[in-house]
Amino acid sequence: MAQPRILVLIAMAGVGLAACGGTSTGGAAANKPDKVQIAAEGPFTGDEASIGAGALQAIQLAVKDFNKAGGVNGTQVTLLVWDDQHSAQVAQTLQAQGISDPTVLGIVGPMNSGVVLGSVQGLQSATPPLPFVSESASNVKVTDSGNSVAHRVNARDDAQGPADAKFMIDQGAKKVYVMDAKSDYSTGLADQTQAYLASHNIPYQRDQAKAGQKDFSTTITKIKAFGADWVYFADEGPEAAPFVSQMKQSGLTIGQNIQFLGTDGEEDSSIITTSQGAYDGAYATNITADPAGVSGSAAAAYVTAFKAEYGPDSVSKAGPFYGSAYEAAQALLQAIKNSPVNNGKISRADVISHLASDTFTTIFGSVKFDAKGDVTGGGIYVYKATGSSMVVVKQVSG
Amino acid sequence: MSAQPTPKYSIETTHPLKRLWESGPGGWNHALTRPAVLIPFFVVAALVPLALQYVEDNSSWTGAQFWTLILANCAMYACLAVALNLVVGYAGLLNLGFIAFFGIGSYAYALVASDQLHQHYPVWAALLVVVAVTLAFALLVGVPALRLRGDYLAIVTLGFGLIMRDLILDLDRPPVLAGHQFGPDGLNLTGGTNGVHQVDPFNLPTSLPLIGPVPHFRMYYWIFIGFLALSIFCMLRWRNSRTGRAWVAIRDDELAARAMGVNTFKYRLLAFSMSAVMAGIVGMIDAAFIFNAFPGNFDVQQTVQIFIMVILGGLGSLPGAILGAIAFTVPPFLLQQFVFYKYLVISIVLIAVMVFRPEGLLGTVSIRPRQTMGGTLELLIAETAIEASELPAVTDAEVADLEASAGAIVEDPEWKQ
Amino acid sequence: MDYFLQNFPQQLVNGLEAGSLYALIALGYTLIYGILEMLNFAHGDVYMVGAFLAAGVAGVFVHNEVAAVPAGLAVALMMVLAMGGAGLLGVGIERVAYRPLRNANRLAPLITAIGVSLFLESAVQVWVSPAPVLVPSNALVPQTVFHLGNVVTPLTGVMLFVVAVALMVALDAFVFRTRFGSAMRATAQDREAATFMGIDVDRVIMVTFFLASALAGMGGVLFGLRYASVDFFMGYLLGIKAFTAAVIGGIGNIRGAMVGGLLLGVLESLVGGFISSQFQDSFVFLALITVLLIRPQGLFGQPLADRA
Repeated sequence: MAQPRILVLIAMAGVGLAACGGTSTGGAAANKPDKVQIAAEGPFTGDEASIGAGALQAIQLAVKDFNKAGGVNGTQVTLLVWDDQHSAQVAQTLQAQGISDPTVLGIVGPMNSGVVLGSVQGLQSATPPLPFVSESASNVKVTDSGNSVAHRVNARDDAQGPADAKFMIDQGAKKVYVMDAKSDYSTGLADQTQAYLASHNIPYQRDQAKAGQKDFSTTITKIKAFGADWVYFADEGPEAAPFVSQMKQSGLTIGQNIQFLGTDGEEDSSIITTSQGAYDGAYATNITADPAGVSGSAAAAYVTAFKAEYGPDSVSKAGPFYGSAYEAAQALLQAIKNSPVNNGKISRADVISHLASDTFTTIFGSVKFDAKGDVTGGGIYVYKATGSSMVVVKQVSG
Repeated sequence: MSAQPTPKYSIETTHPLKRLWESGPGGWNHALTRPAVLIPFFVVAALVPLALQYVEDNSSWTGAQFWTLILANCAMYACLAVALNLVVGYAGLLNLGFIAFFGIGSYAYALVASDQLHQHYPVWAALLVVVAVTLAFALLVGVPALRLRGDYLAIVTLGFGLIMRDLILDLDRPPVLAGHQFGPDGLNLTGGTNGVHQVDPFNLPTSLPLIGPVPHFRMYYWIFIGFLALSIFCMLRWRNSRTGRAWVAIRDDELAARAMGVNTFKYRLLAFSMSAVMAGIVGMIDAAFIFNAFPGNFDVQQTVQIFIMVILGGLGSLPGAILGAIAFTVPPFLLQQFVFYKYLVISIVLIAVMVFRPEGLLGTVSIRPRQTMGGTLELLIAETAIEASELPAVTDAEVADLEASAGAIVEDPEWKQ
Repeated sequence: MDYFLQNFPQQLVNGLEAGSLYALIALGYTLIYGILEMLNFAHGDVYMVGAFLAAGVAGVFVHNEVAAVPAGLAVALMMVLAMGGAGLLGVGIERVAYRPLRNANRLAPLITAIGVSLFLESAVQVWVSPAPVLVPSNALVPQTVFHLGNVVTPLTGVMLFVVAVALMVALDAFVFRTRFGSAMRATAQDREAATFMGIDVDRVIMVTFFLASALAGMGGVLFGLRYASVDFFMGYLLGIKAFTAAVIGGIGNIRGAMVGGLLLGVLESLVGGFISSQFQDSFVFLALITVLLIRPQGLFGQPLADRA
């Protein structure tokens, strides 16, 4: 995992020659750190690989782009890959590699709330503490516990849940069937949505699907029996497409006699294809926004670059967090770049303070963390499946 | 044989190492489990983290904590492999829900030593709870299931493991059955998909005389190594006892064992429960080690991985279990760039081992295909083994004789070779 | 009670459809167990590969619009290729991984089967796709929906039921009314005696594996057409449930597997619809454990000699 110094020197020379906007010149060795490493952590294999694999690709691309633009004052950033397999035990072991190595300055990830909550103690109590920027951990406790190392670019459950519920109520929902997919991400979110509906006296029925479930006939029968006019499905995996197809087959056509609201991962336009059109008219919310759906040159350019790097159908396999992972990596890398270099070393404490104070330029615009580590001023985008793409129709605040 | 002159006897001394090699896996196991080998092994194992720390303090290397944690994981899996070896290797029972007992142990401890249920038991009380709970589940499953044939036991234990996993995932809210809610609204027993967090570690000193400060990870490495030593010690005592011999008898030929008066059910239950309790205690140590208990502890994939460790190392072999644990724990941590191929490689290795060398590296249990028909029948036939070609041909007279006494022998034209 | 009565017919139909899929896969388990007395853990993954083969063929026809091939022909081709491919895969697995261990301790082929299952899952995950793959069923099968009173079910669901039952009847006829079927039953009853009677046991086993796997492949096609999506992990849980069905009906008994499958589908649907969908799977496994404890030979099986 360590890059020999010789490669760093060669890279430096190359960057100096190419002169593509790097802020260093060959002789300013005082501002050049000796070695900079960050880690990408997430479930890259195992039961959650469908969200991890694409995120890893995004982070690798982010590091590559950052290095091409000059790295940290000429020093190329090395990316360590930590596959935590959705296990806090593996995560703690891998993080130890970074904790004792002072050149590891931050982690992009972990992706699962459960893993974050299970390993943040070790990161915070390390000397010095090792900061992380998560692209997908949504449990409120991640940033509520007062840990200075904790940051995330995605929405908190207690911001997104009420926003989702409020959207449905504003659209005239009378009876909502609330479902989640029994995962770190979706269960907490659906609980928050349910709580908001309950506090506003909207009748609801709560149910859970299983990861990988394909047959929803039993559930759909219950939806019809309940007489729901809205279906809320918190899910970051691929269950949405078969679900809505079967809804249509059973006579529940979205936009006609039922409405559908999905969450992160369900604003992906490939669901329209994989549901063979049954998804048309469905809504989905996301704070970080699917880059393919946000019109704005940075996000669209990112999608093009992603496809150029990994193949034309890579985006449809990349899962729901390939945008936020790139964004998280950008924030971390910029914080590192902004930190002072002393004797060729950057200290983690400086990275943490820059993460707290700086504003970062990402593919989704400007990002700044609040005192807890959440993104300030973010709204939630509401998408609607229209034709063959997902179109942003509204932005609601949490 | 014709008489031959008395040969002159010469005593050929073979080199002890050559003799050891020729003694095969049985001999290797025997050699490796002697105290003269085991005690130095554990002493060295205990000193490793101190050596790593020394290297780190005196050079620019920073991997001491990382490697100690890897070794702690190894030690944990070695404990689990030894426990699985007990139930599969010694007693021949296919417990596919094995990892559920690990999970039960970890959750049992987590629930009495965290804020989930607001209980904070001290270590010894928690240990009692863990043992009691694990034993209860083992008996609950074992007493009915161990009367079944091996394949059915496999399925029942697998089903049990899956049920436990679902229960752990679902009990973060009061269960709702047929529209009725059982339990108060805020009932959250197991933390659901997120697991139980901020579990208390054991109340242990943070520094030892002579050695100095002991960080958390090193302390738990020592605890796992200690438990491993304890397990191996118990295994060896058992193996050479009446119980151990009963297990071997049941595994090799159950019919014969029962005929000899061995209470097969009692010994099976003993092996099953002991292995479950061991796994439960490992789970408890793990929960204190990582401060968490997770539903991932119940994944069937974990059982499969431990199976592979035991198979690769060799069924019935304790050193083999440790070797298998090291072989499957260390490389995945180091070869992170090849993670996507991990299960592919593991499965190919498993199939190759089973097809070409089912006894693994150091196994002493023969699960190889036998060349003849098996079981008790084999014993009877072996006594009278005759080559087919040596059988005298049946004469017509004999056929006529047979026909006269037994009725017509009709040759079925259909089944001609 | 009203709720129950009103929704019972629909949940029953849902259950019968799901159950016919379980029955199809359960047949494979029971055939192989009957002949070799081994649990083929990899069977669910053979089904998964069959489904991927079907998805591949469907993709070729639909996306390349191969000379306006009529949909019916495309579906027929999907079925033939998926059944054939899965069958050959099953035969291959038997040859490579199980035959060397045929006379070994029962543990050995079981463990190998776990290895084969893991291999198939990882191979598809790494070399085909970690994400689910679309089966363009809308273009291949008319999307008609049947309405019978309150009960709604799509054509693909009815297809699943009808084709599965037809195959099961055909298999039943094959095993009980043909000569080769008697050879299969003889081998299942007593392998050594069958050898003495001149039966080519190797060939019988090979054909059994082919049939069992081909049925699983067909199951994959029907699933793909019904649910329009296949992924590398789909065989795992379905395999366990199908095995449960086989055991409930009596492992080794073909008619038992059929009944067991349908029964399990209905049970699952009723539990999920009226009691709890979270504990649905747990109830299924509980049913399995109960059957094994009370009547280990299953509904249709012969009482076993107690070997414990």
